[in-house]
Amino acid sequence: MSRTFRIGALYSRGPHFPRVLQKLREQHPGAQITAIIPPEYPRDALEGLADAVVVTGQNAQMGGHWKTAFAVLAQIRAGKYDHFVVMFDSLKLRLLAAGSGAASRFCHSVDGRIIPLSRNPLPALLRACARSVRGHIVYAYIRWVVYHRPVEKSQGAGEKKENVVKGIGRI
Amino acid sequence: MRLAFVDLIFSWPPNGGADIDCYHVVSGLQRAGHAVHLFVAHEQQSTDRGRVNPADLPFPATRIDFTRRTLRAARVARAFQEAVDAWRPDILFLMHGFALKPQVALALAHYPIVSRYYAHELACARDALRFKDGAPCPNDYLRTPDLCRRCALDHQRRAIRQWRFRTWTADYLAARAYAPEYHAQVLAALRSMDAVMVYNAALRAHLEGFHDNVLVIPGGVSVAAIAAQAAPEKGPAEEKIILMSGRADDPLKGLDTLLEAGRILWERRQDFVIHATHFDATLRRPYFRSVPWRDHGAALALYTQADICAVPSVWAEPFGLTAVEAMAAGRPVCASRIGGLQDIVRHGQTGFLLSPGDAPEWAKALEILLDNPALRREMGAAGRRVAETEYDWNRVIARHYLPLLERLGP
Repeated sequence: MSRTFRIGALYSRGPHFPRVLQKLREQHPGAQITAIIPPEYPRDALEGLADAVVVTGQNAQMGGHWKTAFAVLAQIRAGKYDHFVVMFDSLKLRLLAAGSGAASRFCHSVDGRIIPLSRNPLPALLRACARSVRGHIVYAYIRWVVYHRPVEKSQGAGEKKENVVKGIGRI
Repeated sequence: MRLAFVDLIFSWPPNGGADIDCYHVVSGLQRAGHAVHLFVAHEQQSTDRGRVNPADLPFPATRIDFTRRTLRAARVARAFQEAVDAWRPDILFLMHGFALKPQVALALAHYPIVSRYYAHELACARDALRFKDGAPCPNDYLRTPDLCRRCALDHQRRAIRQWRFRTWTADYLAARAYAPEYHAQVLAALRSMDAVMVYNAALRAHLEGFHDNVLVIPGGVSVAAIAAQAAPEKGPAEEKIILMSGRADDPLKGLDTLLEAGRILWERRQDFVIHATHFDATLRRPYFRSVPWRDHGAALALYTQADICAVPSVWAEPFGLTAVEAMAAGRPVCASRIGGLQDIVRHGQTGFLLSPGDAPEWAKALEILLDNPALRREMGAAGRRVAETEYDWNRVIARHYLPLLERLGP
């Protein structure tokens, strides 16, 4: 006899968790859906949306501590899910999804997009590093501009509309 | 008359009050017999820029697509210029936008331009709120640009360094709003506008010396649509609902004040419950319920289920749409004595104006209303009359927009 298809959906603070569960129910009508939630999440809000609930020590995304993340990961792995869903596409959640042991992993984002998450977290890690390097370089440049090139207050002041229209090319 | 509307942020279903305002102004002017066309920027994979299908709108619209890579000031300005020039409007309305708006205005300066500012976009380079460290900020970008440039960069440091950001920062980078030249572009763009619309007198006063045709034009509500919502029958013993509608998750909206007032009241009485449209379902109190996030149409029904509406904002709300919607639903409103809310709520007539953040004062005012159903009805009826005469969209269009078109039109 084949085992029931198991889906684990991890709550992160955001408006669309019930919507994600609803979507999963529509996509997988016969599956057993488990909502993985922090202790303070009201269970009555999940009525009819999830078949089972796993209460974590803390929300893995909100709590920054690695110890917490590993505890949550252990709980997720114990669920032996076939399909694992997170609510945001962040590096932390990608790592958690990669470690979940589920055969398929997706991010159901707030705008309704469903993003497949790779089992191998290395590309995501590299992308995050590249973004961070780029961000730091851009930030350093902007900081230099902001602190070393002050605004000359006379620029543009007092111009009439006709002059502005004639001078459009200067932008 | 041919009226083009350019909105650099618009989404439908709406993300906020600015989208709702734009939607009603465009459809209202279309109903008034004008040819209208909305031009919207769409950024791929953005959750809050251009998330709209033009076919879902009741007026013609064009969505101009960008990616994060192609979202550059010159390209955005050129794309809108080409699209608008092909349609050849008589007047151009420049609706919501952040740092890219001045450059788009300059590219379209050959048209008569009416520009709407919804908050402090011109004054605050940080986030358009002009609210910092728990208080209104005394600085403004037009007058103290270097101070504001540093503040803006400091505020966005984390987002830029991690290269994970939303629309405000995307615009800041795309428009090079950090550059010293940007200040001159903002001033030139202001000069290129034939009229500037703001929500309240304080915002108009702020623009004194920078533009000589600043108009205070309020937003509006569809009174009929709100009034059509069925009000449930309630017995006197049923718990009374105090509703806080809108983005209650935002700390600037003052939910903390309302919760503290609720706690004070709960020690004396347990006949009420606070409802707030708040997406963190983990926030629980015996006197508080989080109402799931819903679309704007469904959210209107919440007003008629409520007994009292609260708008406890701690920042200077330029308009306060939720207060007007509550009044249109015939509910008394307790609101902070701040920003545009002071123009909307009439203290002692349509509700109470209260000190922002002063929970004991809020508890006292809420208790007066909880104890007195006749006063609730009386204030609710007065609020409905004000909403009908001053804030119904048909009236707003007829009173403010049509005369403006007559003055500016060909």
